[in-house]
Amino acid sequence: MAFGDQDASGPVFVKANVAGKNVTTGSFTPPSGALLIAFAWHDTAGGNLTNTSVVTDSLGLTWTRRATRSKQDDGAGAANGHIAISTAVATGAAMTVTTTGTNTGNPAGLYVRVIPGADTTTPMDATPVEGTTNAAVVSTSIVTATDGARCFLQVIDWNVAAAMTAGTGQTSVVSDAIGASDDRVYLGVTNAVTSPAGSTALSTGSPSTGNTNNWIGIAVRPAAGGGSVSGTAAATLGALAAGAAGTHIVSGTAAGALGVLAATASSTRAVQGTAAAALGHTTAAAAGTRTTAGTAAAALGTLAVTVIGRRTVLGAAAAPLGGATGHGDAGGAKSGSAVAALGVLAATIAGRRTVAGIAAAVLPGVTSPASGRRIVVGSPQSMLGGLSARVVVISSTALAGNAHGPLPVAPGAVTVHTVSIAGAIT
Amino acid sequence: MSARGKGELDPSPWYTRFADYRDRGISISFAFDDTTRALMDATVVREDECLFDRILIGVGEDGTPNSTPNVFVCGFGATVITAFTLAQHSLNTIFDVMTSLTAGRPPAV
Repeated sequence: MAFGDQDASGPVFVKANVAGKNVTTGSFTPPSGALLIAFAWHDTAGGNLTNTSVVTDSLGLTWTRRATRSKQDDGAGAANGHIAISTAVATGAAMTVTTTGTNTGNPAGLYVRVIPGADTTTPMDATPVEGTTNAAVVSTSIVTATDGARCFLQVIDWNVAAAMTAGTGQTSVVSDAIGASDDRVYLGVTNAVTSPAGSTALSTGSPSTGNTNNWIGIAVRPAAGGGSVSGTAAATLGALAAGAAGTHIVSGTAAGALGVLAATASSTRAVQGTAAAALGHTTAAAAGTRTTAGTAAAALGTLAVTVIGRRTVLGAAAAPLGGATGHGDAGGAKSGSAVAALGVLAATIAGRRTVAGIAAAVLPGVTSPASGRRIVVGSPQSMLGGLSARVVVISSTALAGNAHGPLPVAPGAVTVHTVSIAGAIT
Repeated sequence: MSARGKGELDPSPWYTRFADYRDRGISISFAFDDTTRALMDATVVREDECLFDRILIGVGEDGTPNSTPNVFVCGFGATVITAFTLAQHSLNTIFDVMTSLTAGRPPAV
């Protein structure tokens, strides 16, 4: 996971064509402290000079408008169609985000990027660039100031030419239409952070005829203290040790081991890639997102933590798929395929714990002396693991066990038609 | 794809794709009658390991897609949603599915 990638919690693009001129994302729960960037698109009537929009959310966060491109904001020199970029900082609570237009057309679109490890005080690394391009691809650049910034290009085509594609070195995040093909909408991101800081090209690859584009380019600044190691190594791809806040990433392909990340301060830590030997692990003693994901010919590393934070081990391993152990709230997850055992999740404080996957050997359990939902689901060739919590284990069609207390019914075949839960599960 | 006039609907089918954070996507393609705009079958394609497993059309009582009654859950690969099923949700023309369209994850465990 590189800086500026969408966090796993991020919502999907949403679009609407309603009289309220608004569109709302589904609910999502971003990590606390993550930067939220709302990219909004609104249709306009031809020649309209009074169109505006505003971003709000279900938590009442403060949204700061970073850039707008429209005839209302930029005069008759701009094309029809309205785009805007706003930012806020996540609290860690579940939320939805809405953009609402005024004097716009009904069609609207909204995409929210969730970026952990960003500088939330000064998220724009450079003054946004904006402009209008007719009958040509968008081709501009932005000059970043900080090493490791990530750049985005947002575009609207009011004239409804062909769907837009990404320019060289960029990837399309959104390329769609809103309304009854009232507008084409596009968001692209550079394939990698800009390092060292400097000029970064932002462009579309097509179309180059029939389009009337309003566009905005931004660069997102990483938090101070971040670092990364990435690439392809014939032997071991190096490790990163960090004691300060910031995004720290080891990613790539290694003929040997893929390195280890060690950190004691909160923020995003990730090890991701393919390794002929072991895929390294992340160790941390402070809150923050920790991820190990990839494919390893040997073991897929372990995640160990002692305090609050999301912990995830995800991937395929020829040896055991490592475990996640935690003594803090907030839960952990493990899923994947392992030729040997699928690792164990253990926790001593409340939180959701899940083990799911396919294991040729034992699909292990979840152990926990504290309250919380605990689930083991999977298809082991030997046994489905035990649980010592308030859980029910379902193996194939058999109700296999409930270690916390007597089962409501005797173990045996299970047929589930409809389950309705009206109150709390205790 | 040729340019269309402003506000002019593209010919059938109407396609859109929603990607998760690793660009694993779920797409839906609505086939419709170009003259009457009546919906025919829709095809959902969920790519391997895509986190999104459902298409959400419209919004519910809380004004968000979360509560919409029009939820179509799909497994990996291709799933056909018939015109009859769409009609049971009062989705009869291509314009009915444009009210709010997105994808969603399975409910939290």
